[in-house]
Amino acid sequence: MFPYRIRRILIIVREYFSVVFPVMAAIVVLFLLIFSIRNYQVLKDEITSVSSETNKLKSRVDILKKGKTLAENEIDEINQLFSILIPDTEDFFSIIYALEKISQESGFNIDEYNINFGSTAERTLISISGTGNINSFMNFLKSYQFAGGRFATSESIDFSNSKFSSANVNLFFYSKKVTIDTELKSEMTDSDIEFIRKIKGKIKIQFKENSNEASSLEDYKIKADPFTNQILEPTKPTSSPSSSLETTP
Amino acid sequence: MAKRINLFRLKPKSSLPPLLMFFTSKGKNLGVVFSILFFIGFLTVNLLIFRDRTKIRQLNAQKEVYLKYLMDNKNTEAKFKYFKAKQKQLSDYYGNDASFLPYYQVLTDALKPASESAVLESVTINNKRDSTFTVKILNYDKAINFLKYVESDDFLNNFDELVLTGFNLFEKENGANDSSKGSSYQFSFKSSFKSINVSL
Repeated sequence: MFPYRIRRILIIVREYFSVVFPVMAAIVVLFLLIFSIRNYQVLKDEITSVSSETNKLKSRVDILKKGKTLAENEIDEINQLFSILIPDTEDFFSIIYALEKISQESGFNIDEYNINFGSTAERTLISISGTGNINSFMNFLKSYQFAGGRFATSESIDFSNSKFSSANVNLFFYSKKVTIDTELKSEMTDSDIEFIRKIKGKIKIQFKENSNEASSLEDYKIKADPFTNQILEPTKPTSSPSSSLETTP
Repeated sequence: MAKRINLFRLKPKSSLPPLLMFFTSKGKNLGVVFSILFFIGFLTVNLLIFRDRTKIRQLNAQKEVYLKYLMDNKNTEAKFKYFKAKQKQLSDYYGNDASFLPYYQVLTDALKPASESAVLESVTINNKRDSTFTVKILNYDKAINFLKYVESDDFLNNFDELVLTGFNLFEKENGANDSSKGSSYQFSFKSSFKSINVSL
C-alpha cells in the first residue's frame, strides 16, 4: 500500500484530473516550444555562417568569372612578363642585358656600370655612366624603366642642358619572390586590363613555344655510353613545354 | 456558547488550500487555452525550422557548386592572384622613381612664356618631387621680366614650394660675338613640384 500522503495526492489527482491534464499538457507543450525555439536560434546562427561562407565563395567565383572573361588569354603572358621584369631572385646577366638593350633602344651609350653598395636583397643599385646627345639622353629617360626587359627606377636624376655630352645615373633593379596571400583578391577590373596593355606596350618581348628545340632533341639519339652504339629511348618530358624568351631589338 | 455541527451544509469543504483552489477552479480552462497557444507556437517555430533547414540545404548545395568551380579553376585563380601581387610590387617600386620626364615637362612648359630670354641650364629632380634648377638670362631687362614672371601665379601654380637660392652675374666676355654681348644672369631655384598624376 502507498503511504498516506501519496494516496492523498493520487486521490486529489483523480478528483481534479480534468484540471491537471490540461495544465500538464500545457507545461509539456511549453517545454517543447522552448526546445524548438532554441533549435531555431541555433539554426539561425548556422544560416548566418553558411550564408556568409557561400557569399564569400560566390564573390570569389564572380570575380574569377569576370577575370576569365576579361583577361584569361593575356594573364599567362603578363605574368611571364612580370616574372622577367621583377624576377624572384636576382640575375645579374639579365641586368647587363637590360642595360645593353636600353642603350640600343635610346641611342645613349652606356660606357660603364658599377654595382653599388646601396644594394639590398630586394633591389640592386647600378651606377651607370653614358655618353650621347640630349635627344638620346631624353630617349634613355623615356625608356629605362621597361625597355631593357627589367623594371628599373632612378631615385634622382641630374640633367645639365648646356653642352650635354655625358651623364651619370643610378638605377635600381628589383627582385622579389611573390607571396600569394589567401586573402588576396583576384579581382580583375578594366583598369587592370589597361595596365596589362600598357605594360605589354612598353616591352617588346615575344614568347615562343620551344617547338624547334623539342624536335631537335627528338632527332638526337641519346647513347648510354659515348663509346658504344647502344642508343637509349628518349623519355618524354613530364612538365609542360617551356617557352623561350626572345626580345626584339 | 455551545458548538454545533451544521448537518445541512451542501458542499463538502475542500481539502485544498484557497490559493490552489483558485487555480483549480480556472485551471481547466487556462490549461486548455495555454496548451493550444503553446502548440500553435510550437508548430510555427517548427515550420520556421523546416524552412531554415531547407534554406541551409540549398546554401550547402550552392556552396558545393562554387567550391567545385573554384577547385576546377584554382590555377586560373592563382594566376590572377600572382598578377595582383606582382602588380602591387611594380606599383610600389614605381613610387621610388623620380618620374623625371613628366616633371621636367612641367618645368619647361612653365618656363615657355619666358623661353625667349630664359634658358634652363640644369635640373635635378628626385622621387620626393624636390627639385633644384638653374635658369640663365642674357640681359638685364629680360632678367627683371623673368623675375616678375616667376612671382606670378602662372608659374607658382606648378609648385608647392619655390625658393630662389642663388643669383650669379656673369660679366661680358672679351672678344665674344655681338649676340652674347652684355651681362648674363643665372638664377638658382629650389622647389617642390605639385604632385601630378604619373601613372605607369
